[in-house]
Amino acid sequence: MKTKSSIKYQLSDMKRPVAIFYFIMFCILVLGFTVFKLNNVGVGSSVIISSSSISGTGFTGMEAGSAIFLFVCGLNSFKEFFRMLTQNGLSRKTIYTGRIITFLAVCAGMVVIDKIILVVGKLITSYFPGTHFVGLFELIYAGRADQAGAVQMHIDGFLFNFCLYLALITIGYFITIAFYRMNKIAKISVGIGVPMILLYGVSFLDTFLFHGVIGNTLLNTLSFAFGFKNGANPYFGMVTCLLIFGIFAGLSWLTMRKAVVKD
Amino acid sequence: MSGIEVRNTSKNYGSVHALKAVSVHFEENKIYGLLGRNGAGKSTLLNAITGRIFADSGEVLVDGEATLENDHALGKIYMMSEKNYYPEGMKIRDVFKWTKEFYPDFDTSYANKLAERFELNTDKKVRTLSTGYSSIFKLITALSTNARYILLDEPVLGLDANHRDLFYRILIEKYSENPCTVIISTHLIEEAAGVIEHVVIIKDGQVIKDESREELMSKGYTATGAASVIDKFTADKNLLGADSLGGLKTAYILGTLDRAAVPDGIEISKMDLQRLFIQLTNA
Repeated sequence: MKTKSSIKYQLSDMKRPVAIFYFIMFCILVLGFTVFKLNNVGVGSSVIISSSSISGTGFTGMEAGSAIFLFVCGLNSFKEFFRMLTQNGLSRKTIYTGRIITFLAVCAGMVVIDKIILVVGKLITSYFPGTHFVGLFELIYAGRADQAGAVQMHIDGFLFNFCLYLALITIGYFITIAFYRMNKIAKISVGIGVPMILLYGVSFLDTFLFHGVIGNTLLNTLSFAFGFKNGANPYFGMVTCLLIFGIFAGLSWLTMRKAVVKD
Repeated sequence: MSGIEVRNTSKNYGSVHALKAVSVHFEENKIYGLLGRNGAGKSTLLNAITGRIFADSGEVLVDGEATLENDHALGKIYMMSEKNYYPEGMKIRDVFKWTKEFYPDFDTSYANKLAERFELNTDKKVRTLSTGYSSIFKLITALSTNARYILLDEPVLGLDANHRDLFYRILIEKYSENPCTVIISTHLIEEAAGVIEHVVIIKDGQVIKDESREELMSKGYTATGAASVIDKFTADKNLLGADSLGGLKTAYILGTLDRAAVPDGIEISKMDLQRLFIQLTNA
């Protein structure tokens, strides 16, 4: 009963930012298609909304926006909810369960909306010769796109995006809980230290001490994890994202189970 | 056992012992005054009861059920905190709506009636409220939940005299119609004394008094007179403390009064709760 209320509250609070996000996406799309029309794109114009290795002009990997948005949502999913829900007599376990179910629901909902946008976008761009509307999945697994049929592509794309969204929103959630638990000094140290080490420390060590071994290992690992070592196999990517989701969801629970309400 | 039972609960913040093996039983359908000086451990105790913080040792039971990560037990308690834990951008009517979701017995029409009596605009957002109105909206929410145990931490913070008076009247009305356990943690003892039935005094993280107000008040008295007469009178008595003004002295004495033994020139009066509290917690 309380879990249901927890989900209801947390879902309700996400409605507005999701609506604003898609309103902005809608405006960008309308603006883009208007520019196509005004510039008579498809007969020699060169308006670029997004460009990639895919030739021509058009919209490419717009779901990346959804992925970033969900990561930011994850970053904003703890403090306020934790206070509000503990104020209303909910245990940490119920807050956490409600949050994870909310993530699953929001990611599924956004994947469906993104898929609809992709299908409609492809339909519209078909009226503008020379333009394209390419989804994130097609962009990442371009090789797969050539082999699989259209239906399989949509199913794979749907599943991959769902797993990716879930992984990112959960990483964001873990980061925000970890920062909530830290004291001021730890927050500053981790907030500055980790990005500095990752950006400069690792690349410095890799260049001068390991002569590119770290970089190559990282690339190989990522390549394996996302299925590029097996002829662009998206199921590797899905499993990797689900593992990331599982690990960070677990870490989030371990971090929040002893969290206290702070002033 | 019904009620809220705090058993051997301790909490340390570094070297500060906020609670030292506190054991106290808040019975059903009573209004408690949880009194203590700043930093005595009142809020820590209330936060430990509601699971907002974790005690280092001990346990809290509500109607025999441990509250630790227990939605059912926690759902019987509503705690109004000194701080605001509602989203800043939330409107008051939405606070009522969501509280109803978590406390199904929340009486929305009663909350709206109270809002009218306090002249609280429910279309306002939490962040726009003054300190006084912030307390008012939290008080209204607390009183409308119909929770069995209502914990009020500094309920009248920032309220003007009229609103404080209105709150105490509403609390009595509510309690008469629908008895529940109310624990009031406050510094304004004199005002709250009229509604408190049972007193729990906490000092340096320890419960030093846990008695009914009547019982507590009957255990002490005040003697006023010339300093020399008072000194002689109190020499063999359990003196809590004394105030002097010019040659006049007022002594606060713990013990039963033997009226026949009161010498001339000494005026005896009842000790008020605030005075007793000051004397008990000053030492």
